[in-house]
Amino acid sequence: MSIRDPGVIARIEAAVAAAEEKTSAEVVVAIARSSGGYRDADLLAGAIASLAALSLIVYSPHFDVRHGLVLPIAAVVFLAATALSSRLPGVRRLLTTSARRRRQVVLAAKLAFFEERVAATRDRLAVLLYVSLEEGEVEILSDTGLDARVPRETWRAVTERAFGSGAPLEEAVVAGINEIGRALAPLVPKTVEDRDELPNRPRIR
Amino acid sequence: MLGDAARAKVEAAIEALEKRTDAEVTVAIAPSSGSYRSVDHAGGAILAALVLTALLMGHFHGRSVPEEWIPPLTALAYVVGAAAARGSWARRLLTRAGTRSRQVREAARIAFVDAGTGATRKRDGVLVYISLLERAVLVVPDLGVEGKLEGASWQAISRELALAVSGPDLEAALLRAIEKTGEKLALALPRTGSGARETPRRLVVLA
Repeated sequence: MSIRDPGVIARIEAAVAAAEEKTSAEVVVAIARSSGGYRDADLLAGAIASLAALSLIVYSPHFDVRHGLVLPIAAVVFLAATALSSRLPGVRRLLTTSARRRRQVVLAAKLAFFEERVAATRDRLAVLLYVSLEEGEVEILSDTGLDARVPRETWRAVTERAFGSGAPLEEAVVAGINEIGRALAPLVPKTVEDRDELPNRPRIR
Repeated sequence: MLGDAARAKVEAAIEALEKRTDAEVTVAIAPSSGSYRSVDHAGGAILAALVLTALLMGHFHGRSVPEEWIPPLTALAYVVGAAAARGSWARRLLTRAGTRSRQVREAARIAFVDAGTGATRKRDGVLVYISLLERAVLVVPDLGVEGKLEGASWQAISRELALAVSGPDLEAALLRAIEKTGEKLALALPRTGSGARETPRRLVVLA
């Protein structure tokens, strides 16, 4: 089951509502298909594949290809490998470093923080749980009001507990939201005048 | 990108501006707003395809390099093409204007979060973001300033500033951007007197 299925979305929304029962902070969940264009990895895959095809034609005695066909074959292999790479995350994973994927996720999380207006709460008590599917990574970003009251290590501990277990992603996201609610309850308790300021529904990006 | 003297001048201009408006202006300047890595590979693929075509054509006419040289020469052409595509000029030629402006918009918003422009209590932060490769100037206002800068006159100013940024005198272009933004801000959010600056840095030079 995909994390973007309506049933899963509804579960995440319910988890956010439940977490916000215990704290006056707002929890925002954003789910992105991917955090960056990895077109360069696709093109590199195409280049490697067509160089391999060219080498095979020239050096292997088993292949006897007319000269006129060499260029079309190289072009077709290039396009096919490029298309294949963009559909198979394994290829991109092989052709990019984990440090780069991590960096992309952090940048995309900051962009989501801006674009989903996480900073728009009155007391700046909102936290963003950003999930990037292609990289299989998460990032938690909190607004200034929470930064003043919640130690930074909290978010790392939440991430490790919820996403380090190897559980299916939708389970991990729900667990992550529960963990955020549990961590915030004693530090930013619910107050009587607290309003639900930001939508609980996860943002699909 | 900017020498110490130029940085000091820009910071002084922003400080002077703070006497006229309540908005907290931060200027961020970036060499580019994206890696544009795929352009390298596009350049490599184009040159490799041209060289391979030339080598094969030569073969038809019986005057070409030995066959076994063709794969390494094609690979070499790819590397040379990729290296050639690293220049700003090639980057602009091989990307669409829409792609570049999206990169600038996203990078400006990320810089807004990173520089703490959106973290002021009164939400009166304004980020003036300048990206050299794309020759773009973008102003990202916080919630309290939103809607006060936009409009036809601002679009004309943006275009003028973008043109200045593509010229040789970066320092002058920056000072002009601060002056123009300041004129608008002084009208939209005039100085009311109180409140010290909350954002730590006036000028952010991005790598």
